[in-house]
Amino acid sequence: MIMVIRMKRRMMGERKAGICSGRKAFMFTLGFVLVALAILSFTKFVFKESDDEKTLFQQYVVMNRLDDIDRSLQDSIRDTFGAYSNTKAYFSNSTVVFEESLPNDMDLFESRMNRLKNFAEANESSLRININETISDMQMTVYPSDLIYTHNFTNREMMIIPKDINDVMKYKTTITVYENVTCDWAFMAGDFDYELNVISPDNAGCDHDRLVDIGQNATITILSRDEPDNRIVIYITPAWLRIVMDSSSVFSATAKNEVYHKDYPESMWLGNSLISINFTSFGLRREGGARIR
Amino acid sequence: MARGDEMKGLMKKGFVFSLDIAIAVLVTLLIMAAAHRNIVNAEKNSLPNAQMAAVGSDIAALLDHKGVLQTLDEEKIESGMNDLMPQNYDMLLKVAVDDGTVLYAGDSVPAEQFVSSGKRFFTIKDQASIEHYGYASYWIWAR
Repeated sequence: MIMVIRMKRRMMGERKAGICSGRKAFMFTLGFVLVALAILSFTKFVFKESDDEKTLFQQYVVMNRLDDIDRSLQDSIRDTFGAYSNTKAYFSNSTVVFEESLPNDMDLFESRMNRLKNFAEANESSLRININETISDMQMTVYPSDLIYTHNFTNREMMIIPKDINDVMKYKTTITVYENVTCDWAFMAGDFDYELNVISPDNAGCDHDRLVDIGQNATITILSRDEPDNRIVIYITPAWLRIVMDSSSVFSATAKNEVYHKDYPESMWLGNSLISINFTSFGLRREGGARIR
Repeated sequence: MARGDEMKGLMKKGFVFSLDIAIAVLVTLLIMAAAHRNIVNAEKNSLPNAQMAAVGSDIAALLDHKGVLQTLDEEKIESGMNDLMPQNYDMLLKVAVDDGTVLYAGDSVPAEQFVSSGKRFFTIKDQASIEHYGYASYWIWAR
């Protein structure tokens, strides 16, 4: 009897021990699974971070390449513009100055820009240079005031277009011609300061610094005394200052236009879509003009 | 007899426990190795390589602005490049001009290594006029 009881107790003890070790094994496995999951999550996190960083790094390197090409090409365009456009554009304190021949011959500039375009596009597949707009109007934009200096070469015209006439304190035009001229000022007195200075062997009634009413479309005509066909007309309105040389004119002149600005200019850009760089596979694109100042 | 069975049972349990531990350690090591590899890869792509790309760009720009590229002289370009280059980098520079001139300066590009590259255009001027348009391509890598 005693032996049976002992046997039963022993069997119960073994069963208890079995249940206990089963629980331990379960807890151990569960713990291990949790730790493995935690490490796995961490790995996934690191992997994602690494992937993001790789993409960012690639974009940085490609952007660096795009920036190199863009800036160096802008420098080349600025050099070409300086050497062949017969135009000078610069800042003097808060004054923006444009100087050029009248009429301006763009043939050499066009041929040089074409040479640069062909060379650059042949050696960089992501690059396109659109010289059409630059050759047709050679538009320059001054920032931050958005003042535009543009041309109509067919009509022998140059224009200054301020975004807001209130940003302009004064226009000054200096015309250099190599023959005797007379000037005719047609304007109403007002409060806008306009100065004309004509440099020639002899000129009459030209040089004045006057306050004009630009709302009444002031007009100044410079006429050759010897060749009546040789004529330059200056129009001033709130929208623009326009200088036109008659198509029948045969004399050569230079025009220097100074725009006295209220704010200091920061930069000057040639064209709006002159340079286009497209790294399609990286989703990076740049289109714009060339900074010349 | 009962004691022998008991011993056999205990040995079996011990074997399963050891096997469990071995598998757990193996899986853990594999996961840790994968995590380590990812971390190493992440580090490989980041800051030092970005710095290298910037150094290449700066050297090419300086050679352009100092007028060294415009000399079209291999020795001058190589010496100018070596003067500017940090010791832990190597670089290859290709200079090509629109008259067909092509010249190289520096070492050859390694096959299995991260190499950063870039390009810049430049002009060769003679006083007020432009004689040629050219470009310089560079490849830079860690020594």
